[in-house]
Amino acid sequence: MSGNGKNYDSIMKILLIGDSGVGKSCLLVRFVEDKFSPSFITTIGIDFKIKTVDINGKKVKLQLWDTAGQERFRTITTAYYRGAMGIILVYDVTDERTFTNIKQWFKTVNDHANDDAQLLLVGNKSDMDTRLVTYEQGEALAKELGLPFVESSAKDDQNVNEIFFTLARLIQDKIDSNKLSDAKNTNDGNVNIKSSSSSMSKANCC
Amino acid sequence: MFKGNRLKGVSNPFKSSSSTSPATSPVLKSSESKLHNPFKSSPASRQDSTFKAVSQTFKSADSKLFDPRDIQINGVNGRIVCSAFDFSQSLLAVATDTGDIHVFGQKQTDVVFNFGSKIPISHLKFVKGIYLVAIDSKDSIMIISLYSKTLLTTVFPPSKITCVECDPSLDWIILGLQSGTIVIYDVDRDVMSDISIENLQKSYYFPKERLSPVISINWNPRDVGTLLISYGHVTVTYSLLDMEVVKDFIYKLPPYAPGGDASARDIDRERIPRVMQSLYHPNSLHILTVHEDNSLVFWDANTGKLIGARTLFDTDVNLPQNDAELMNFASDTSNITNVSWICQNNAEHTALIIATRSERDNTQGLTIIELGGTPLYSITSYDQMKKYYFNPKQQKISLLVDKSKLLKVMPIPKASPYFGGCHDPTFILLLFESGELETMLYPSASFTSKSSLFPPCLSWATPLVSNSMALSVPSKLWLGMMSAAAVKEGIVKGGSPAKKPMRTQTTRSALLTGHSNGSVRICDASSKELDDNAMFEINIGRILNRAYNISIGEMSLAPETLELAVASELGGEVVLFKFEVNKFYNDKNVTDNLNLKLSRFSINDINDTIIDVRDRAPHNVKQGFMPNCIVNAKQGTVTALKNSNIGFVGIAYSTGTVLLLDRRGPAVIYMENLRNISRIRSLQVTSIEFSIMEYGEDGYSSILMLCGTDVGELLIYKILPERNGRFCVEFIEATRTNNDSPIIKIEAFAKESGYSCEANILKMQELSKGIPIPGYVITTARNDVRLTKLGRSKVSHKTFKYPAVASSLMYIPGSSERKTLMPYFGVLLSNGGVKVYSIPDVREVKAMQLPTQIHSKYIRESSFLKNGDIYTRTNTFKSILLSVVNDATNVGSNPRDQTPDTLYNPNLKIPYRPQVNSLQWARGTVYCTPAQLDMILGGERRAESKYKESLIARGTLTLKPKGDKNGIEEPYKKPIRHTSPRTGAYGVFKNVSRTVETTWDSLETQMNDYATAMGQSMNDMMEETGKDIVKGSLGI
Ligand SMILES: Nc1nc2c(ncn2[C@@H]2O[C@H](COP(=O)(O)OP(=O)(O)O)[C@@H](O)[C@H]2O)c(=O)[nH]1
Ligand SMILES: [Mg+2]
Repeated sequence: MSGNGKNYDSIMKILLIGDSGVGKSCLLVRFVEDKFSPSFITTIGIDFKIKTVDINGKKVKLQLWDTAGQERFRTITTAYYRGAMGIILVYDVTDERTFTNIKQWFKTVNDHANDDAQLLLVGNKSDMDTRLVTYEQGEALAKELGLPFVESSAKDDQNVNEIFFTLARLIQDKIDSNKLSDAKNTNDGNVNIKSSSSSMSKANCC
Repeated sequence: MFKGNRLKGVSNPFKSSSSTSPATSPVLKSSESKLHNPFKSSPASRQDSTFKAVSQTFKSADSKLFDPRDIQINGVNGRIVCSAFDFSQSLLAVATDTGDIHVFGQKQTDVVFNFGSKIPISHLKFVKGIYLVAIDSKDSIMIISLYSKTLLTTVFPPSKITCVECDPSLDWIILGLQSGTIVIYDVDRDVMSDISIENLQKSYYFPKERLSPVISINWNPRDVGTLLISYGHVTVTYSLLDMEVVKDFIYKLPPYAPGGDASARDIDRERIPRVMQSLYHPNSLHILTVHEDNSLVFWDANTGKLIGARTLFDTDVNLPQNDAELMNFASDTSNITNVSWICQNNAEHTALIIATRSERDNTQGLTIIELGGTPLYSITSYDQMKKYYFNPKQQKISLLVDKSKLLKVMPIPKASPYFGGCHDPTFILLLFESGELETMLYPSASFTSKSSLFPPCLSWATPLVSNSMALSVPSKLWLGMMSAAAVKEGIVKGGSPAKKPMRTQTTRSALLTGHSNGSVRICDASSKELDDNAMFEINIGRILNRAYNISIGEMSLAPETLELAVASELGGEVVLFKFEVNKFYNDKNVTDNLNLKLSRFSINDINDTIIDVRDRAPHNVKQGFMPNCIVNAKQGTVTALKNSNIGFVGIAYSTGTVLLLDRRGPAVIYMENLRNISRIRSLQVTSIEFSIMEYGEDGYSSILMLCGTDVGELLIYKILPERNGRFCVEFIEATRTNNDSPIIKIEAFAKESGYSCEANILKMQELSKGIPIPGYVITTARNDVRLTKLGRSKVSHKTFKYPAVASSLMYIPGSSERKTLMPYFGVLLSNGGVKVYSIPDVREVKAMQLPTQIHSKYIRESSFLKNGDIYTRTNTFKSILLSVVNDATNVGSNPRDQTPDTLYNPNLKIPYRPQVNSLQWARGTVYCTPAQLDMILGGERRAESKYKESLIARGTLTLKPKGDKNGIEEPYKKPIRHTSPRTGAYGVFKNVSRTVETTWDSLETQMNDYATAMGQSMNDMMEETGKDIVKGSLGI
């Protein structure tokens, strides 16, 4: 048996949020299992999936959390947002309401998620010719909210990997720069466990 | 006054041109046709002279018609604190905080045990289908016979019990004690075994540590001779044959290994996280230990080797980390509180159901880790095994929002009573500290509000009732509906209810309960008189598409048109239903688009008062109460709600607004604030009624909407037809009828006949004939009852010492020769007193006291019914139906002189207990038969049982496995056969397999295959086996 430690370098908790039916579950299934199903199956509870990817030469284990966008399934609680390092806000380019609701989701994220969580805006179903939200509108909203932006299609496998890799890279960059500043703060650069975990919890609560 | 201009020109708005018929007596509904008319005019003078004498005799005769008694109790006496399910007999037991133990079977089967103790029960276990073991928190062990429905004995163990294990096929209860000792009790013979197990942690592992209680005991799911025992620091497998530890499992974390808690203060040192639970894989080859630091540790049961340690979200947590990784662990604060290892019919397909609770905000959840098919033990490396536990097929979290503390996760097995009750469950019952039950569906992890799955009494706990009421329904229609809705999918199928005689009545009493999860359930209030259990359920959660603010407030059922109106208690939305065939039943055209539309629906996005929700009908219900529309007036909460039998729905709101809706449309035909109309500053309408009768001296009848207010004012409206077929509403007058208190009930009756003027379709059709029906209105307020002639004056007035709780016109079969229905009026008071008055002169006929108290908290949840039934809620989980009618045909229907229901069925077999698989057997576990176990634990001279239950239960045991191995699939799948270098060894196996009672025909071949697959470790194994052959020849 291999006793020489883990087969990854770090873990990232990533959430998918947005209105029901925008394609969150499809994006996730496309990314993790490279499959697509055209039928709509309501997500019940929170689905948890894992995928390990290479980011900047490091093995990063992505913990991906998918939930129903509807209140009836009792999933949208603060517990869901706790500890999330990345949050993907998804709308459907063929449905304007899902796009206007992004602001509401953004507010919810600000209320419940860690301040340092990295966000990403995704306009999904770009393959559809019944599009009602233009790329430019999506881009403008992203700019207004200060988020990176991607348009994707889970159906045609357009930009799906990009969503997750872009986000993971942004998070990894944050971690690395945090580490740098942490290292600067300690005298010898040899980070002591306790101080680093307490600095982490501080970061969590402020 | 608004006396309408429009009205002036129209003498009779309903008069149809064709109808010229003169005033004939009104046509009565069939149920009323036998109605005796005590008022039929005889010459006034003569009546005057004889009136006194007649009324005197009448009175005494009348008074004999009434005598209160219980009809049926619905619900349980207190908060449920403990539960257990028996697969073999299909019975469900629950214990309440009031010391009651209910054992439920199919339909209405419900036997209640109460031994006079109020000490809460902490464990309930079924033993051999015939004994129920109840252990209370003061450690008394009560043995109840389900056969004789009596307490057989009570036993007291030597010290505090910390855990209990028993098996559905064995006589023995294994009791783990605070002292760390294990004692064993023989349920069948009522003796303690001479065999006990010392505190093994103290004796062999950590003699210096503080004394640990026994934390967890599990019988090996395949071998009754082995126990899995956990103490604070160590878990062991223990052989009852050898009386010694077989393997031990100690979860030691090296420095800087995070375990389940990366923020541990002493992370730089070696730690042993405390054990909180241990479990066997259903194939008995692996062990899971659950630790207080939230580690889940998987072990090889045979070798004692640690396969892998994980938490809910992370893996390899027993390995030292560098600091950067530790940082990533910090965030999750949920603690594991319980783990169930469930399996499918094929017990090799398993899943973990893990209950968690966050210290920070008490968020609770259930995580389902779908492990899938277990890799073949014999040919799988530890690393591959680890993958099975680390890379599950699926992982899901279901949050338990707004729930009190989760006490128990109870899977309801479909396949067998074994594997800790975890064999192929579809329903996972969750018991909460509040006494509520929830049902999670496996594997979808969704929750069902469906309560017809469970015994009807449990409806009161699944979940809490937020409002309840009873109402009169026409018997024929109702009984037809009930038999069509007979529950067939109940999960408790055992026992059989003792049938009660059916009361002959023209109206029956329906019970409506509204629940905190948005469910409304409609059933018969004296359902023990019916053959089947029937229940209609609707849920407004799906219709409103939300999980919060869906508890049910006001409800109103129109029994003749089968329309239902239901208000959300806090949200104020009213959802209207109609009983009909579901147009969307199994509709293939229900597209993804519709589902999407429904899932995105939010009532806040819509400004319309009426929202069409017909397409929200549940697709799996053929016929029932189907949603029609939501009335969202945004006028606060609903204070009164009435769905009439003529398609009009009156809704009153906390803001004072009164809304009238015509279901033909549907359209709002009136909306006005009462505060603009009231003459005495009424703030809210507290009751609404629709009647058809003459107003004042109109000379014709009208549809009237009567609204009673919070200060005893009566508002009168006329509902008038317009030329276009619609209706309009005319406010007529507001009069003070009652003393300053809320009006709780309004009823009207015809002066001539005494029959009810409650609006119905028949009476509405009669309107066109232009017959005036003069009548009286009775308004019951908390403080008094008034009889009023509308548009004229108050006629009569009654006040009481105690507040009125409910009232009703009653139609009671008269004295014996003439079984005609006589009208009376009854009032229930808050002290449990009932007064019955004659109609229309409102003379007291009888005053009586109910054998039940009226709970002050549930005064609003009391109903008086037309057949003389009284419904009242007596506590959080219980209600009672009584009758004030002294009806000879009802003798014997009192629950107190009932023959009790039957629970035990000796014809049901206890399935065969799955056995040790051949691999383990080869490795040195000697298969132990139940008979051998009895000999070890009971001794050579185990006494015969005193109980007749013993013999009966013995007859139900399945001693040989079925050909199909009882649905429990063998873990072992035949690998490709290799040539073995050690064929000679098989002879030895053969011998052993002859000595030990073998159960599988193919055992030998399987043994060979296993052995081959084992390859080089054969040698070691053979040595171990050699040791056991000795045992084998000794016969154990
Ligand atoms: N054309 C198209 N349809 C998609 C795409 N992604 C999802 N869908 C469809 O949209 C519906 C909802 O998808 P789902 O992932 O369940 O949405 P969720 O509620 O956000 O999880 C399904 O019928 C999918 O097949 C996409 O990229 N293109
Ligand atoms: Mg989804």
